[in-house]
Amino acid sequence: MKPTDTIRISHPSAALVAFITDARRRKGDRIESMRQEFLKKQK
Amino acid sequence: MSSIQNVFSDNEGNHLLVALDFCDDIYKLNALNIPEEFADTQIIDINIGKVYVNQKIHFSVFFKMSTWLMEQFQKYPDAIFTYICAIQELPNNHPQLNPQQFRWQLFDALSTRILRNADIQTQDVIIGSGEYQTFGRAFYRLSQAPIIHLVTANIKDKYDA
Repeated sequence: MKPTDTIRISHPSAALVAFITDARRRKGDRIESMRQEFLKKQK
Repeated sequence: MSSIQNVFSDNEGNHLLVALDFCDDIYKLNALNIPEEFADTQIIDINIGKVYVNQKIHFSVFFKMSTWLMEQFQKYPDAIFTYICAIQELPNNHPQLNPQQFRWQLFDALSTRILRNADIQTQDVIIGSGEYQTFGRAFYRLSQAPIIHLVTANIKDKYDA
């Protein structure tokens, strides 16, 4: 694995914060959906 | 968005869920601002979570998961894989680290282990400061470097306040 220099954005703009927030929400929804499906199958 | 899902379990009834989401063209063009000429490149987002959030999971499960992840890297040699750390609380033995930092260090250790001899590049992005940092990583081959450079340049130019 060859790492490149880390990009650091100390003061993200509102647009970037919104992007990250939205990405996290989608990811959270995805995992929650999988979790519910898994628990349903276990019953 | 299509996806591949898998579940990894220990012997104590704890399970790790993994979903690989294939980003669609609309997302690639509009959200990631990838030029149209690169829109054919697969971008696969890695999602990881536990079924029982508050229960610790045996470390061997993470090894199984990361080995499977490496198989996916090999199965999709032309894809870029991305990962962003979640921020939800996560029980662990490192109280000095916030949940993101713990996840980041864990993911970094796992990915370093599986990609030791692989010809895979990584690009890390850390957004924010102090306790409110977001950690992200992209895994790619050299042939996808132009796309990574374009996306990171876009992030730096447009999104750095």
